[in-house]
Amino acid sequence: MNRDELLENTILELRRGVIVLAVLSRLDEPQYGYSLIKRLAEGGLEIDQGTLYPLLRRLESQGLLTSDWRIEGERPRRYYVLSEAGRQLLPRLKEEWNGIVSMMTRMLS
Amino acid sequence: MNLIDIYLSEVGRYLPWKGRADIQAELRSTLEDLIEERARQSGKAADDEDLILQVLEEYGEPEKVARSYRGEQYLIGPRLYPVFEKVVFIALPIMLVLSVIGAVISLNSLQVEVRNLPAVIGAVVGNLISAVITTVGGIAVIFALLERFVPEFKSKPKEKPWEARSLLKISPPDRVKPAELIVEILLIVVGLVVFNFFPHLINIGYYDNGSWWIGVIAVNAGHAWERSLLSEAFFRYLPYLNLLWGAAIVFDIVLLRRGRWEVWSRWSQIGLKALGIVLAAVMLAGPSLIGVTAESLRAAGFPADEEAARSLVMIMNQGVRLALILVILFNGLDAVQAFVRLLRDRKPAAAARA
Repeated sequence: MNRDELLENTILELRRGVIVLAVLSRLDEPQYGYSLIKRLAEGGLEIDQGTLYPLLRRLESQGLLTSDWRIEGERPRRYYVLSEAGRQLLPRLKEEWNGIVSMMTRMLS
Repeated sequence: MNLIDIYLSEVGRYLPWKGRADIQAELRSTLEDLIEERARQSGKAADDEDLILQVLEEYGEPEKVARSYRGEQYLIGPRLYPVFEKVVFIALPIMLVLSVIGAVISLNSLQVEVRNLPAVIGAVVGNLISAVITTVGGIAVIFALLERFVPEFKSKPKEKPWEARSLLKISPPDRVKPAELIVEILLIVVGLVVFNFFPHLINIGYYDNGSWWIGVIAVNAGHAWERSLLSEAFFRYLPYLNLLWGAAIVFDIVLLRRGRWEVWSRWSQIGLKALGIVLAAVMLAGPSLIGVTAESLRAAGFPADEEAARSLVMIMNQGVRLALILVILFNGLDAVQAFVRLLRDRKPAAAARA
């Protein structure tokens, strides 16, 4: 593995830990996959569909999200939103994240 | 069927049946959104073939897309795998030793000729390979079924609190156990003395009053007839047994003095056990080690009818065979255990060097 690959893999590992929190933070109101990708991109996080959809399903199977199909125009779309458990978990995750950021800022300064 | 249908059908081929339609429906919706937006940006029609092909290519190879939904898949999961490995380590040598014994017995009964030897060796090796595949395959199937149908094996085990004090109860794996070695030396010495100087103590005989004995027994006065149970064939093997036992005693004494297992001693143990297996296998395949027959017993006036005498001799022969099989089995297990420990000892040493 060369240095570029190592760097890329390490960045990927770092991002992987962030994605769950980012996705949960954007699902306080119902979103379908494509609109969620756009919302995340607006916030600065580029994520591909191949990562997002399996993640949404996993979070749903863990009880943090709920989903339902809605017909909009001619197209059915699956909307995801935070479940009650997800809503309770999110503030605690944010708090944890802020702690990690402060700690890392101190460590890296 | 349009391109999206074909693409979804290809993705579906790699998806589990459960949830497939749902995933495909969601994918369709996403792809249509992507194509619609791309058409708007490029000014092309949404059914433009090149545009659709470009979007599909960017979305990814169907198999890869399906894999992202399936997650990590195991035939035997991380929780069961260490147990699987242990079971294979135990079962495989046993199966191999049993296969060797089976091959030796069948060769003996077939009276193999020298000119057939290459074919016979080929058949034996084939049987061994088949035994390995059958054993590992059979165990893998059982563990795969457990993984699939017993949900407890999928979940993470509840961790028990660990106390560092428990380390004090474990003796270091390379420390020798003096009691075991001393008992082994004593048993070998007893065997050497009995087989070399008092072989007549392992005998069969009867008294004038019609009662009889068999086994290791002090010679009593007043008996009518007695005879050593060991055949001439046994005494032909005795020099080799003496050499092997002598080597084992020297090895045990050196090991006792060193106080711990080292690489050379592990290899020496494997070598001694292998020699023991070879000798036992040769004895198993060779002529009977029991020096009496039903006819000789009857001729000596042994108080038993012909059928009983025949059964008695058969039981003795089978007993000896069973003992030899057990010797092969236990020597094989000891050798494998020594080899595994050798590998385990090497890992930390290699890591330390690195």
